[in-house]
Amino acid sequence: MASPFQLPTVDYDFIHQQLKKSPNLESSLRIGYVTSYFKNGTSPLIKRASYIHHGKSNQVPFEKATALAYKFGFMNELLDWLRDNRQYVDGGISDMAKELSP
Amino acid sequence: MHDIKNISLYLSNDTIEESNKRSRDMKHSMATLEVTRNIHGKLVQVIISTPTWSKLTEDNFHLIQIPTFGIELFVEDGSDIDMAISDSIKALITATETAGLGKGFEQELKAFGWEIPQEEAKENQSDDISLEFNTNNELLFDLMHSSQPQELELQLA
Repeated sequence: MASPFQLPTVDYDFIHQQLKKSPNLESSLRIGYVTSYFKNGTSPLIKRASYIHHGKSNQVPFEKATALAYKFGFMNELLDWLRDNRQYVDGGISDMAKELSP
Repeated sequence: MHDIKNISLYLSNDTIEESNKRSRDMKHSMATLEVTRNIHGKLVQVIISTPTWSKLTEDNFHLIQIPTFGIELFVEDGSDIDMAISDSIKALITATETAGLGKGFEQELKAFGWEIPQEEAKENQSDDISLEFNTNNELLFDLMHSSQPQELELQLA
């Protein structure tokens, strides 16, 4: 059983869908098991790149998901998705933690 | 989606003595890179020697960091780390060379802080372009020398 304090993971399909919708995305490129996303702008390409690795479960860790949401501007959608699919409320108490608390 | 299949990659099989010698030569620069192009300007071979780190995060993902290429990548399975490193560097090369993003591989690296070594600039004998990565950040510099450098040789058909 997962710890109630462990951060949730996010489905890759959701992240990919949001990134494709984002007006900040210049291009995406898949090589092997790594997909790279390039933000548009004038700074060096290396600074604008983000990489996602496709594992067996195809999940993106919370840290990476929020970083991408901040860069590409879909934080509201991500927080809504986490509330609906993972019962995670940012700054709130999860249902699992509520059960444990006296 | 672009998918390049004709890039083959293998780790160089140096003897221990050779790799020790090379790491001693690398004392003044943290990472080195050599680019070979054919007459038409097409990228043929890239030899990279760069330090890499991986650590296990709290949610059981492996975080790979390659500061010389600005790469941060989460990998689920520890056995995928080597493949993920080469795939992400390949992605960067393909984006700058084939997909037409940015201003070319060397130019993008120079913009990120890679430099032509001073000795090379004076002699300028070979056609191959070699670059090295330097930093003023002392903490990063110490870290770089404490790690085992990863050597990659990319052959682009």
